[in-house]
Amino acid sequence: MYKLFLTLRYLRKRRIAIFAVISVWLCVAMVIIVGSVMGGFLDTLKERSRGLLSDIVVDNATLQGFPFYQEFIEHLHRKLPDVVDTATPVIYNYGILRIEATSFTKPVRVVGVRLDEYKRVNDFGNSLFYDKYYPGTTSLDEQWKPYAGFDEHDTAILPPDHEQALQRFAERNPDDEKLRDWKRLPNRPFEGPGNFDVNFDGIPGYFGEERDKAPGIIVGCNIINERAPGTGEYRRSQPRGSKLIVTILPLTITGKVGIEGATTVVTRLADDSRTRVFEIDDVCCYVDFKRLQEWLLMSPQPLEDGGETPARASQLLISLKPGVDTIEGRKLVDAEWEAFRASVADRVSRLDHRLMSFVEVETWEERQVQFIAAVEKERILVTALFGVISMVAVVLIGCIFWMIVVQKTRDIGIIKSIGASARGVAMIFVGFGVAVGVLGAALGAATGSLFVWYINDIQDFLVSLDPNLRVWSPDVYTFDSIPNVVKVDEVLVICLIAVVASAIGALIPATIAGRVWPVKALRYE
Amino acid sequence: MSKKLLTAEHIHKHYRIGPATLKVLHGATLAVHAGEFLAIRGASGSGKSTLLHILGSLDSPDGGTVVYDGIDLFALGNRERERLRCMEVGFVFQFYHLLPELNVIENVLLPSMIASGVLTWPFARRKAKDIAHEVVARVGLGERVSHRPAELSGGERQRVAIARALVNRPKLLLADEPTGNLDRKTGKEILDLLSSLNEQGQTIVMVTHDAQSAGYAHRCVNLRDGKIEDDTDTNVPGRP
Ligand SMILES: Nc1ncnc2c1ncn2[C@@H]1O[C@H](COP(=O)(O)OP(=O)(O)OP(=O)(O)O)[C@@H](O)[C@H]1O
Ligand SMILES: [Mg+2]
Repeated sequence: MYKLFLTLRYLRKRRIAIFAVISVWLCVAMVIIVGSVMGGFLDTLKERSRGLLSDIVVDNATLQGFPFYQEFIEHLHRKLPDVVDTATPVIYNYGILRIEATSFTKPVRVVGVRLDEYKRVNDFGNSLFYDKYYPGTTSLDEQWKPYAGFDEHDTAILPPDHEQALQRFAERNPDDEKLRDWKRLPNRPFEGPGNFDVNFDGIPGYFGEERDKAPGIIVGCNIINERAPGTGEYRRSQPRGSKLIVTILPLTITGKVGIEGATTVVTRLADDSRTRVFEIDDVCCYVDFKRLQEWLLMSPQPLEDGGETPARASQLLISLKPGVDTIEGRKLVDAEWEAFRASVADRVSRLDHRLMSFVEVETWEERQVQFIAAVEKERILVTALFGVISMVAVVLIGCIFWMIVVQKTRDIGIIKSIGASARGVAMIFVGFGVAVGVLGAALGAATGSLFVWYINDIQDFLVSLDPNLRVWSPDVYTFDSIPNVVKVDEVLVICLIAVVASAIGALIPATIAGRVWPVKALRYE
Repeated sequence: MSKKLLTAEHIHKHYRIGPATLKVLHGATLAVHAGEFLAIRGASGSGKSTLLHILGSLDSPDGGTVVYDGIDLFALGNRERERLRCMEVGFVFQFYHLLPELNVIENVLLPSMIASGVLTWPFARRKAKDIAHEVVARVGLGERVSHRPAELSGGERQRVAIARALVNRPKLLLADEPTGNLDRKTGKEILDLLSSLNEQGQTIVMVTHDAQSAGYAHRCVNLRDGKIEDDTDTNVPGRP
């Protein structure tokens, strides 16, 4: 009984216990913060790499691309029907984007995709803005500018297809923030999600005349949008359907610039994509695969001696059937590629053969391996560093308990002289250590978690004081916000370690003190 | 001749200080009879405290045996020895040795708490508290139960120490210069208290260096050169 009683009494009366609690507290908070941010960083990175690519990537790393991609897709569906789910070709090239209205230009990476298939192999679909609020209205086909009009009460409305799509979204997402805060008022421009040009003809229900149709383009959200400081929300300065001019450079199969020189095409802003990977959102824009192929002269071209060159693509993205292991899938696809290449060898020109020989089949992880490995190493390094710091904290806690025990040596002698056992004496201090550990760990878990949850707000606050205080810069760290997920199981493990470390820190000096003959402790000065 | 409660035979104790050895006790032999009030006298530094600690099993001798009620103290296991310290022997120290964080009644209750487990304490608590209050009242501190040691005078602290030593009703009370740090008047009060306890049947062994205090005892022995001399029954108690 006296153990519990004295433990509680010492906790209340020993001010030094506060220092022990504080050091446990700070350590636990520190480890949680670092672990969560670094871990979150890595997890997000991995998740997004996969979301951006697909399970398997077939790529030949040249701008000319490689031929017979469509035949290979069919070959795969025939040979590996239980492995391959969707395979879609992609074209990459570089170009210059100009906003017609502003003559603002920017270098971009132009990506040609089959939108419906591309959405199926990765998370691209979830990154689209208009497609979220107006599901089904985003397309890369020929389109014109959707204008907002007015109804008979002079309230801004969108064309019927947009209004219906928005209605569908609202029904499915009743508590979407943007829609909740928005009220339609008469005699105001359209203030709902997105940016739409307004038609001022004054005829209720008139949305303008369909003219100047052009192919759609989806742009990375950082290319033409600005972020509001503080909230980080994107301001869509260009209305949907605005004209964007893309200039690209077609290459011949040997990689030379074609005799026609650069190609300029007019497109219309169909949507913007926010993958949350800065390098992608800042440079990529997406157009229809077939159109880009033609613009880049990668579609079949006539040859001088009759016949024509095969169509080419830069990359194949392959998603696997659920339950298929990625590595296993990669091996199978790779084997099929070799088999396929051998089967077409006799009808392939020398140049095409060369392009095909560059092709590599990789999993998304292998493709990002250098980047992921670097972050993984960084995490191990940081964890090790903080492990060392935590060891220092454990030693510190040990020291504090040692001091407490030393201060209490005479009391230990007294308690022993009236019959307490060595174990009992040790238990008093172990109880003390556990109490300190539990208190410190609870405080640390609370502050650490709160800090991580609000880490972006804290940074925003610092930046509002002085822009130089920005520690997390999106162009350096790829992400536009600091990862702020706290894993409960990790926190529990950290807390447990803290409690055990405190108990051990107290146990060692207390056991030593409890062993001596009472008189030795009593005579201690 | 009354029953012997405690016998110490040929107790040796030395301390090693660097290369030198300080022989404090060499061959001290002593018997304590049930019900007697025995005083051990000796010069300062002669080893009186050392001897008393060994009698109370608070310290181990380098040689010799201490037999309490037929049990060899230093042949016992730790656990039995702890029980003995708690239940059979009460110790009053020269320097009080109260726990500063606890008030009077808590200090006095501590031995009962040690004797009781966490689970049995709720049942034992009432009785233990009654006894503690009674003992505190007996030493004349009934009004000061919630004071901390720092708020008490030396004499009062010594009374608390005596109350603590008595709370588990030990057969043997060992007191190490209970009046050493007190003025004459307060010292006399403490000695009167011990005498009255002895009259109620408490066996007491008291260490002292002054003749005046020793006068309160029935019997007085001298510790000199590490041995007990003059172990004479000049003042044998009349009780069995
Ligand atoms: N732990 C120890 N280490 C070394 N020497 C010790 C130790 N404990 C006691 N001594 C020595 O043993 C001798 C006897 O000490 P003890 O305290 O028994 O004397 P005492 O007779 O009680 O003296 P006093 O009347 O001053 O209380 C002293 O000389 C003391 O210095
Ligand atoms: Mg002494």
